[in-house]
Amino acid sequence: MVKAQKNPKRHKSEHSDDSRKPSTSGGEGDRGRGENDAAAGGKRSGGGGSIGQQTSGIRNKQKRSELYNKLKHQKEKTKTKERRKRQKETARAEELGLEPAPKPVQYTLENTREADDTMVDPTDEEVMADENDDEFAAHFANARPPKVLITTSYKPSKIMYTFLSEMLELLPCAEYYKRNGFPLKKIVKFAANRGYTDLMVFNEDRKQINGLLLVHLPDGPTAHFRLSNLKLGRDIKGHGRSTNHKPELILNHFDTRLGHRLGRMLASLFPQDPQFRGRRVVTFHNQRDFIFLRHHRYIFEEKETRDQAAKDPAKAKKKAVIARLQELGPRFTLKLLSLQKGTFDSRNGEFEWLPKKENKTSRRRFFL
Amino acid sequence: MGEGGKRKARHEDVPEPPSHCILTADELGLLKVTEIPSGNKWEEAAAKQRWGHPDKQQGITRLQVHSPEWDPDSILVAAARGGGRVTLHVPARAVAEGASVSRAVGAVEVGSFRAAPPAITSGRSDTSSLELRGLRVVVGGEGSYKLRLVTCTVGGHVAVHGYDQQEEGGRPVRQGDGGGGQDDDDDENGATCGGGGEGGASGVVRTWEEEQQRAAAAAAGGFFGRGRWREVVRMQTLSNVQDMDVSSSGRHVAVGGDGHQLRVWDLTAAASASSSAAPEPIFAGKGGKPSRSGLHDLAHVTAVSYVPGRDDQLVLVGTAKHKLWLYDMRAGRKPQSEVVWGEGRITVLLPQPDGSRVWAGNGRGQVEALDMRQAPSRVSMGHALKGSAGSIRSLSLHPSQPLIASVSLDRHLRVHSTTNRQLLTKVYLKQALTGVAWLPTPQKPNVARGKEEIDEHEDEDGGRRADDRTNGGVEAENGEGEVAGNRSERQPVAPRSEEKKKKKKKKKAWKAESEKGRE
Repeated sequence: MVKAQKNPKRHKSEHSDDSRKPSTSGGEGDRGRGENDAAAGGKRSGGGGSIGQQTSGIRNKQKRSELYNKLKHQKEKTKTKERRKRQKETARAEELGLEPAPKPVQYTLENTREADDTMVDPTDEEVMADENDDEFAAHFANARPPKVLITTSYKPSKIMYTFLSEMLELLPCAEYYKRNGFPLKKIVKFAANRGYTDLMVFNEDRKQINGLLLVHLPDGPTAHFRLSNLKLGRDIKGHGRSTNHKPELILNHFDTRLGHRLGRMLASLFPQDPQFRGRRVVTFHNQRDFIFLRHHRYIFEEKETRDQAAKDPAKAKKKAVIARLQELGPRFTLKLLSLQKGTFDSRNGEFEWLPKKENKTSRRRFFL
Repeated sequence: MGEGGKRKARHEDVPEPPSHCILTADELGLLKVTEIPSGNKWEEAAAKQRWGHPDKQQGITRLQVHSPEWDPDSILVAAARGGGRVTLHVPARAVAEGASVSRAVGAVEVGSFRAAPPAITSGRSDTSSLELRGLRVVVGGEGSYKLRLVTCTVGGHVAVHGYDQQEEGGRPVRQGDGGGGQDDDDDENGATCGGGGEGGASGVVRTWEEEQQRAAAAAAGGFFGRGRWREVVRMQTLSNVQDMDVSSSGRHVAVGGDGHQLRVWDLTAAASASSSAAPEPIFAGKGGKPSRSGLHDLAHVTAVSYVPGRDDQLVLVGTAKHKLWLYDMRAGRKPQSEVVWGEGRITVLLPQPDGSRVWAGNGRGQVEALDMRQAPSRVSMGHALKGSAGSIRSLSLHPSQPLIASVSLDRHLRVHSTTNRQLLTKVYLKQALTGVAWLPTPQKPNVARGKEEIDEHEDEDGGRRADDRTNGGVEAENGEGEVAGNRSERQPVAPRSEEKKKKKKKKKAWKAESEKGRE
């Protein structure tokens, strides 16, 4: 090929010029090197990283895209070939009545999560002893019913009001008070005096609701969250209206000690005795340190499924009980920014958990 | 937990003693011993023992360990608990006859006292002011008591309790982890026989162990096992105290709190003064300079520390507004130098014994050292130790090695090297930790042949100071002479000593086998 001949000659002469110029397209030295590497890498079947990483050294867009498409095509071919092979083997195994080869494990971010030594063992005596006497024990012992005070940052806008109206529907024991310029420490004191168990402060910035401060009273921990991906109930297609029934609560994947504590904190916003007739459920789902809030109404139904592949018409219809969901109020995502021991004292308090750069050692490390 | 005496070790190789032992205290009143296996295997650090039962009322707020010669046989652990009580423990050793297991397997509570002011009879008892905020061990000094504990409650009540070892307190030495041991009463738990008195125990074997352990404890914790703690001095200082420190001589006590700047009192004056007159502080500090906008910080002192070596002069104070003030008591009431450091209140101040650096920890998990070599003219922060995600509750320096242990609210114990700031180990200890201290490591027990050595050494040293590195009676003089040197010798570093150890092991193995053969 002409290209292959060109490169070794040009490589040395262009090298000195290249090193002085800023990066421009048409650097032939780079191209030569990049292409060689990329070609070798392609043969090594992705040994050099993803296809994008392998080809990104090539400055010339046309050459780069040619190589990229070539490698992509190669990759897809090998993939389909292997998949066909696998399918054939499983079909053959089924015909013969043998067990098919086990499916290879899919590695996701969740199952390659870095092992955390603070994972809570439900039978751990020390953890149970600690939780028997922590700030939320009174709530879980049904001795202290929840009473939530909701307020906002200074000067809320209309978006905040519509959101708050939905939050008041979501939380059965919540009341709203205007902020009126009171400093937070005073609000904490007032609320504690009037017997509230929790204080929620929603923060708004430029018409975007972006923060939640959750303070457990009288001297419980303070959690500061970042609120994102907010969607109001009225903007969800096919939404329903909430009722006054006390909802059920689902808390998913609060595994570590910190997660456990946070889960208890979120659970103490809701009453302990749900009314199942209302079929209302609030879900806090933790995944990768993001907590997703969803609010649904569910209904159990019997449904007939037709098994088309089955040869026996009598067995074709199967009855199964499924749960259908209708989304009610708002949905949003929370991310924990800090957990402070004691009530709100942003600078001078003691923190139980703060995200630190030196702790974020890998993409697979999560704290909740 | 009490299985040490049961298992007479007949195995050939004796477990190596750990290279480091760290004691931690937490909010549930548990004392945990974390051991780093011999050879400085930091990756395998794990909590090996747990003393006490989880009980939030007994949560420990301050922890002090007193081991005068860094000897594993004489350790006194003082823990300040909720409600204003201080409990004292001695790690128990199950030393049976010729047994090889001399590891501490539990702790014996050798005493406790109430460090709070006597309860004023009123209907409402506000116990929050009884919590202890300062606990310090003072050795020597004037007076008849050679060992004193100075405590300070939130309400500002400073009390000094001296240890009187002559008096037989008449309190039975009880097992701290056997259950109970929460009251000062002597009537319960006087039973030595009568099986399952400790709750959940199983019959005869347990009591035999109990007796053994109790005897051992009385023998081992001998100095601290008998005797009583008596209150020597009592003084009322400020309200809402956050931290307290005592000068090395035990004469002065420095106190600071929420709404109060630093105040220093003279304890001996208070002792001699009449109880009606409130003693005047000998030094009352003022706040630092105002900020650029002219605002003064509200007085909120959260950490106090004397600078060792210059005890009657320099006091370092950390405030809630992330400032460190260095007071020179002879030069003036205002701080001589001020360092603004980090964000968050300063929670711990720990000076190095030579006075060259003071380690400071804050509520955001940062730990840095304040360089004091040119104090008070120039002070600077540096040497940050990274990794803690929660507020630092306590720091502890190893007496001889460049190691610092830190304990924080994120439930982890961390050990850093002070020379290269590296994190050596991180151990998850399940509860919010409040206190940490280094313990002298138990020495390698000498089986059979070693028993004779022990007897010899005991005659000569009066204690098991000479460890197995010395060879029989020949080098006993060595062990006697080197008191300070002994500390560094304990670390298994020198190859010569390792060879000796191997030789010893072989000999022991041979001996044990021959014994087995005989049996």
